[in-house]
Amino acid sequence: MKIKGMRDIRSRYGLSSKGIPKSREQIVAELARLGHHRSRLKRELDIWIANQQRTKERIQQVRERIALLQRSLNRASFDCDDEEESPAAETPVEKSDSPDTAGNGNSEGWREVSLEY
Amino acid sequence: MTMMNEARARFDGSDKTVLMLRPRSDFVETDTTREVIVRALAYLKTGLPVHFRGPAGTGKTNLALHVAAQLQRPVMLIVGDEALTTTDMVGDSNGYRYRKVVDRFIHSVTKYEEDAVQRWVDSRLTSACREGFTLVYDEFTRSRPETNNVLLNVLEERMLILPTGTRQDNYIKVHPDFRAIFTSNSQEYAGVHQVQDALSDRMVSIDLDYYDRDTEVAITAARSGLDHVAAARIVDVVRDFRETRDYDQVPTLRASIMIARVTVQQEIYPSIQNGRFVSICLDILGSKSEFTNEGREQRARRQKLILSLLERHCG
Repeated sequence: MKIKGMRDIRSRYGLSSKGIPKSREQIVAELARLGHHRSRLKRELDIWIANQQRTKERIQQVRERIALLQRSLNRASFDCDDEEESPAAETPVEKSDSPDTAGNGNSEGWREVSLEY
Repeated sequence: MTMMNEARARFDGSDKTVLMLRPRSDFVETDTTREVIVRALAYLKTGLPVHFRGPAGTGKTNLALHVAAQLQRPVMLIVGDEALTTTDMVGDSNGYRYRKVVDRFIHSVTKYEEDAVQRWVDSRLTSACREGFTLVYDEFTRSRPETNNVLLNVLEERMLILPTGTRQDNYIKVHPDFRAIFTSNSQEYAGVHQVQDALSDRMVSIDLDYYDRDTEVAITAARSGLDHVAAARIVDVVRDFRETRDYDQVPTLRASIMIARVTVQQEIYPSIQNGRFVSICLDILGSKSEFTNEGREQRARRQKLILSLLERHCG
């Protein structure tokens, strides 16, 4: 097995031996060893759960950041469109009779204020 | 307006606001006003700018707004002022737009590109020309004549010429739906400039005078809620006082509406027997005389005149 990290190293306290010890001392010794092993595995599980939670939170933060940047990108491209309409002064532009600079003739995109006279 | 556009407007610093006009519930249209409206609309539909001129209190602004509403287009309203400049009309460069591009398309190569361009913000005339809105320029003769020079090309060549070097489109072709309505007071009014011939030559001027009695009664009744008979009493007093020419400031339809409104609010009938009504008339019509210490006799004489008119019409 290719070793990928510390957690992949085989523990010397495994359950490889399935036989029941015969002497009382051996049983007590294995009980004590397994008690330690159980505590270590429990700690490891807690760490995994905490990592999982933290990773989930990080994924959420990344998602929010992506959404924010996406919105900014949209706005930036909107401004670029504007600049494309009015490129820098050094760019020669041919103006025709058609009203390129004229608007669409409606108030879309404008804030309307009602006035009663 | 979407949130994106609102945010963008704030970001740009531009005022992207238009007026949508609608008549008040007590708006009155009589045969006299209707005839003027029809004429004005005919000129506007031809593409000619219309200019309502006349003394204060003849309903110029109201008529201009009503005609503008009939065109069913968003409205840009400019009010003439001594301090108004061409910049206020067309817009100005306002701050800078800074842009920085970091290109890391190839991970081992980072390309930076930075530039800052002056940001141009359209003002109302430019927006109206560009978008084809209706421009109402109220009291335009209160602005200095050189401020209005920019209108010459707009009205004749249908071209708005912006200051050079401001932005790429220094020449804006005026939108075919763009229409302009002007109002102005008579030349003898305080704070009013003379209209340059070139500008007045480009517009159709419609002279407005004080409305006929029936129209004034109808407007007074509608604006105050008073019945027509009672409104007619007040209008007759004000009109006769106007005819005497014994005042420093012309008593207009506004005076009739003021008196009628207070009468309604105070729940009194317009009668000479009612002291409160007489006081209201003396206050409102008496204020048409200048207050000087030397003019006591004159004020007393004018008060007598108002009382005699009240006796005649509200007896």
